[in-house]
Amino acid sequence: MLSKKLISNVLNTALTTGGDFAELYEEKTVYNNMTLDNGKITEVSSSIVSGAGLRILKQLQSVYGYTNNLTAKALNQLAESLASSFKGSKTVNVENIKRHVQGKHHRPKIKWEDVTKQQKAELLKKAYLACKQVDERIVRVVVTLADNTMNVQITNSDCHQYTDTRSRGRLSVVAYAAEGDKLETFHEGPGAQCGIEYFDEVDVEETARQAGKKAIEMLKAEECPSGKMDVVIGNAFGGVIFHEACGHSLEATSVSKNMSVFAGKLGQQIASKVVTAVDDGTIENAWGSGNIDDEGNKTQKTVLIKNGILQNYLVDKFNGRRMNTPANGACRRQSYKFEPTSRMSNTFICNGKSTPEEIIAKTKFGLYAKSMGGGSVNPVTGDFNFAVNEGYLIEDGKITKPVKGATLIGTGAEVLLNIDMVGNDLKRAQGMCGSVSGTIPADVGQPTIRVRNITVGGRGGAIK
Amino acid sequence: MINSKKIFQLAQQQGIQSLELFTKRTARLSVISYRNEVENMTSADTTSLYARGLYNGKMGYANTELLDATTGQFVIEQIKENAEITDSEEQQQIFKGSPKYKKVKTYNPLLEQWTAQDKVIFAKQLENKIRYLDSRVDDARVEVEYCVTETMLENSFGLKLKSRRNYFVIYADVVVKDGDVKKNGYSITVDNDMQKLDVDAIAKEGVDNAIAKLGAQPCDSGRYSVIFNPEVTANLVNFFVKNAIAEEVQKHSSVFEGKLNEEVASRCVTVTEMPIRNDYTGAAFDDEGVATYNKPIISKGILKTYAYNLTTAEKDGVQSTGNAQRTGAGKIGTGFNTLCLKPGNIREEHLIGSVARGLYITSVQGLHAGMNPHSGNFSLQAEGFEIEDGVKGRPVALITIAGNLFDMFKDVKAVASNSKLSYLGVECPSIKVGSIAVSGK
Repeated sequence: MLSKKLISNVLNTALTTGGDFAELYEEKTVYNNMTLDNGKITEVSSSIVSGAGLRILKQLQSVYGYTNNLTAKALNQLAESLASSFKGSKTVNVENIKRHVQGKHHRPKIKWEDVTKQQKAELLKKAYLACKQVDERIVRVVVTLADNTMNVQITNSDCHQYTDTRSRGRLSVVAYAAEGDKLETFHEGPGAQCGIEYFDEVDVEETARQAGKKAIEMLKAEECPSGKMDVVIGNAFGGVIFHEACGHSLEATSVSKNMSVFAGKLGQQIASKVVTAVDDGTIENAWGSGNIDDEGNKTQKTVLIKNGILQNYLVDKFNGRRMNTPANGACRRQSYKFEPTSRMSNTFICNGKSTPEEIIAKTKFGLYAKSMGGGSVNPVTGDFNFAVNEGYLIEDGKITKPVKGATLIGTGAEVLLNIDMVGNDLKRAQGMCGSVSGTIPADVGQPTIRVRNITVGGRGGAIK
Repeated sequence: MINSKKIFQLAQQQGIQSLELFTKRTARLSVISYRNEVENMTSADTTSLYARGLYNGKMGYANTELLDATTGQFVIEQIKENAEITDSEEQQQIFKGSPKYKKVKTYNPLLEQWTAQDKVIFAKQLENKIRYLDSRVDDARVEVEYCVTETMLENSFGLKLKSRRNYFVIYADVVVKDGDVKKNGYSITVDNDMQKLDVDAIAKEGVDNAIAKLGAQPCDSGRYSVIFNPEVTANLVNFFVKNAIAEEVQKHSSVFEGKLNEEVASRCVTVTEMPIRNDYTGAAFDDEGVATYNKPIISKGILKTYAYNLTTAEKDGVQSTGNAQRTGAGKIGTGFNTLCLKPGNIREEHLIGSVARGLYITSVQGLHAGMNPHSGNFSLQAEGFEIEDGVKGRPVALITIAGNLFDMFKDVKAVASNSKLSYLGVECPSIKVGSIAVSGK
């Protein structure tokens, strides 16, 4: 990692034209990937991402630059070039940088660098066999193990330096089931900020079997009918709707510019009273956790919505200036190639009082969206769309048959107000969240919930 | 920064049979104008080395941005370790070279004269134009980005190929407000020819795009005749033609399996891949170093070829079609470089005029999740306008369109003449589709 002396020089150069804050983010990350396709290891790769990003702020303006040339000459040139965007004289001086070493939490028990490729291959083969043996209609299984170890050093003109090491691993199983002309796929992807020991804690074989069983189940699914109906959304990855349709609109990136439907609504009721939601970057070893965020602030648990009332936004240093609000440990980035901004970590709706069985039993007709797929949202309007990966019809309070091809659409603001039942089976699931500062690991989550009257798109004709 | 000679020597000493080094440098400068200030400026220059090598007949991969004295050792060690654990029987290879490579002009030196200050002035000018174009404009943000990429592919057979391209991206984000209702629109322009740059047209496109959404409501559910605008068509064509990728066919996950020289789309659908072109999208060689060429993929609805890289071509006993594409640090996949849907003779307004009751769709969302690439079944959020008696009417939003991609391309009734190169690198006109299920109110 770069020396304090070199960093001081670079930061001081960056501040020569009146910048009021400068920060150098240095990173070295080792990524490993191994793919097993239908029983054979087909692809193994190793990568190093290494470089530094320099940010200078002056009131409501920011300049950012990055390079993988970490020589003093290149970094000073970058600082000079960025500083030339501003006109003014130096007001901040950097000296006596104080170092803070992080890393007490979210540590791997077994470091990824100590795991042999053979051990990884065995893990993949175990998952493959478990999935393949579910049914002879499983025609293809693709299993991937991705691990990475990221070392960061963040130094800013407040003369603080933060270092942290982050290690993550994720196993992904995609099962392909075929029968006649039909081909269905199902994906399971458990991951954590951990070492390989995580895959002793989660039952890898059971996870793989589940992917296989669900792909088989969907072979007999009929096309989902379309129209407005009540939708019971399953726990864990079902929380992706809250993440996309509400979470992103609570990030300072859009709130500070008044480009969010929830801007200016602190203290107001934005959700039904049964909804309480948090963003918690401190959960031990969770996929989206961290000791510090990418500005060096300690991560925290932030209550976003309490009993339907909007409590807090997710705020980073720069956007916080526009909002007169201090940063709350939610500033993240994919790598040194991205300027950091406010992002979610592990974001979920908290437990309510109903059991999932009660919620289904009280639904006369509707869709049970047990597993959700991906989707997208427009942060300005809150319009969202989500695919349902595993769906069932609910008729007279009972789950009757599997349906496929369903899409849920609506607006975040409306859905939050239309949640009328919240279950007691909170579970989190892992995802990769893409936004302005890149693609980052984040947990979504929720208990089973019911939302009244969502538009469901499908190919099965209108509801009879 | 990279001493490739030393890495090739080391590879030979370490028993690597053949080695390829692919270096990519990306330099970019972007400015964002917001509320008449430069809110952000980003400047970047990075170089990444992608190495792959055959070791005991298996291919191993390594990629690094850490370019120093340790680079060679790292990539050679990783290639060996990664190859050793691989047990795929696929015949991977490093390419000796094509007999001839066509020339493409993908770099415009005139763009170098467009200074950072010029970009700031342009961004501010565009933002101002947007703000004063319509009283309902509530906010605007403009990003101007300039990018240069340089690649070099060299291998132990002595093949050495270089490419260089530059282009700018202008992204205008517009928020409009009418009463309490806010909607946003945008305009994206990608090119490397400054002379085509029209600040008024970009401002108008962004503002029109946002204004059109004001007052949008779901339409009645039912079946509609649909016209997709060029941008949406580009997205759909992109998904559709991916089924011609040989790897998917060989793995039995494409519906185009066994369909070579058979009808896969309506007669008015002709899709050509055009990598040999003198604009920012052109490419004379693919990511394995194979010479590219222009070719029809679908001609008058008939599937003419699959797209191959060296590995999948070897498996089918054919030549690579120059479609190798690098997607990450590992195995080289297959993709297309600039797909073009052949325009028809009918003007878009006449196409709209031919629809008694239908929808003009201007955007679909959630393709990555709402479209099953294998079965072709889709259910997508969409927005656009109603068409009644041949006239584009009130705006429509929060509806879903659902169907099957393969059935839909067989149901293309007409292709308009209004071709446009989208930012996806796909050139398409508008198309008219017979009937699609719509879920609205």
